[in-house]
Amino acid sequence: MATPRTSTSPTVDRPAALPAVAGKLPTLRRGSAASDAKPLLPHRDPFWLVAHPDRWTVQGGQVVPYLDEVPLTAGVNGVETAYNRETGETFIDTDGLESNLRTKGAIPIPWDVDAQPYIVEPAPGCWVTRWARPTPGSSYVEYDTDGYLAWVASLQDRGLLPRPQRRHLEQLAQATRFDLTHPNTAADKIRTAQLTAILTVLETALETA
Amino acid sequence: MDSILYAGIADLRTVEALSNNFLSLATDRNALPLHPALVYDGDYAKRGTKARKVPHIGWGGYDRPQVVADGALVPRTTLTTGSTTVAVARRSKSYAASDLARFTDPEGGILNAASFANEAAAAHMLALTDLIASLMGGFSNTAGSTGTDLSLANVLAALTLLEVGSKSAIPAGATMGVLHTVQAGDLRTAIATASAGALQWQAPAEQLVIKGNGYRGTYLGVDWFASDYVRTANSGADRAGAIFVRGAVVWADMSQQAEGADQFSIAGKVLFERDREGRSATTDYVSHSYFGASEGLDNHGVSIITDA
Repeated sequence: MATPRTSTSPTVDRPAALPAVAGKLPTLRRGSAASDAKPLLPHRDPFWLVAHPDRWTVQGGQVVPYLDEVPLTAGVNGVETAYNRETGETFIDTDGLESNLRTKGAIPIPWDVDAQPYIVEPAPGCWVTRWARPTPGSSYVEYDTDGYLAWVASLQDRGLLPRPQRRHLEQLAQATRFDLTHPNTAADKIRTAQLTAILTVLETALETA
Repeated sequence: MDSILYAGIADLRTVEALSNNFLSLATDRNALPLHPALVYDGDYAKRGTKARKVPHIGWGGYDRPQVVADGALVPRTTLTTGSTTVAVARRSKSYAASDLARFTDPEGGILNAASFANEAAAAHMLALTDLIASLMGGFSNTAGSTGTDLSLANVLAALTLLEVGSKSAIPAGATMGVLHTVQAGDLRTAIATASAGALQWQAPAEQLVIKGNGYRGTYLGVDWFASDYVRTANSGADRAGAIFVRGAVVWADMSQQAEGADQFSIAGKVLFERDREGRSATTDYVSHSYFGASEGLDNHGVSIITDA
């Protein structure tokens, strides 16, 4: 009578030694970690953050001013490069830009509003806000939204930025309701959840406004 | 007899040969076209200044006649005015190549005057795109929600704000929409999933040729363009695209005339020159352009602020 065969796991052919072709294992150069790489960020000129009394948004559960990044690029919105004959230095002349912004009621936030400027240069020629966290070797940028919102709140506390009026809250709520009721949004659970959260913030703010 | 292995004929092979192909690093190379919604204030050459003031005038029905009683004096009408300043600024770039670098460049290489000139023409046209795209977040009227993808509802709301602000209908082909590539993708998704595809995204090939490669199609009377030059807003949470009609954006340039044998003008707008440093056997290929763009009438545009 034949002995029943037992089932065995398939054997794996393992090399007796490391591949002969390589000769030796390749070694990584020290200091070649990804953290040595620079962020892959495009050129961006320095900029001002600019608020406007009629521009508001909901971010991080708060109604905050929408801050536009206005580049201090020569040729944009009246920015010019100028030459100081006394010092021999070239500088960015923002008089035209500031005039254009203030004419329409915009509020440019100066860099020296705090001891630490709100823009930094993590890679040569690339300026971002100090709440940006560039990733070495990548174009991905993480943002410290909580830090940013705390800074915006501090500007409001110091009276440098306004607080929203009731009409702003109503306009935002109306636009959000319109978005929520659109058939496309209704079919999109993620958008519906996001907008519902925004609307809750606005309705809460309206109750206390 | 030993085989002839690649590893054994190092004297007969080079470690790496140079390919005739090269891969261009990723960047947005789509220059925005000269769309009717953009106001061109002209060539600033030979005008005695690098900056001009473009007047805004309350004219042609801006102030309506008042009802005045018979025999009464009509009050004088105040003329409403404003202005936009457009200043052109220099943009330059220079590549320097040594003779050894140039003369060892293989067939089809890039280290030659023609390649540098072509590169300069493309780069300077993108500078104008950068200027226009950087204005998109500045309009006082806004649509969209921070951190949420662009939707059809955002576009519809923006169109209404634009019509109310500019006091005009949206004529087909006269309205420009400039979105970040992410926003344009969101819009395409929204359209593709709307009404079971009954609403179509139209971008016929002939329009792509006329309007440039950044053109994504016409929808709701707006010519939509995508550009990576559209800036972030709200500390990086969002992108700030916009739609606008004629009057919102004013731009200008300045022609340059070639003078020397080592200079030539590309399309009149980019001056390209060859600057030889004989003692170091190095040649600079330098190019310059002068462009400027400013926001004109604020209520003729609406910023669309949505998730980045």
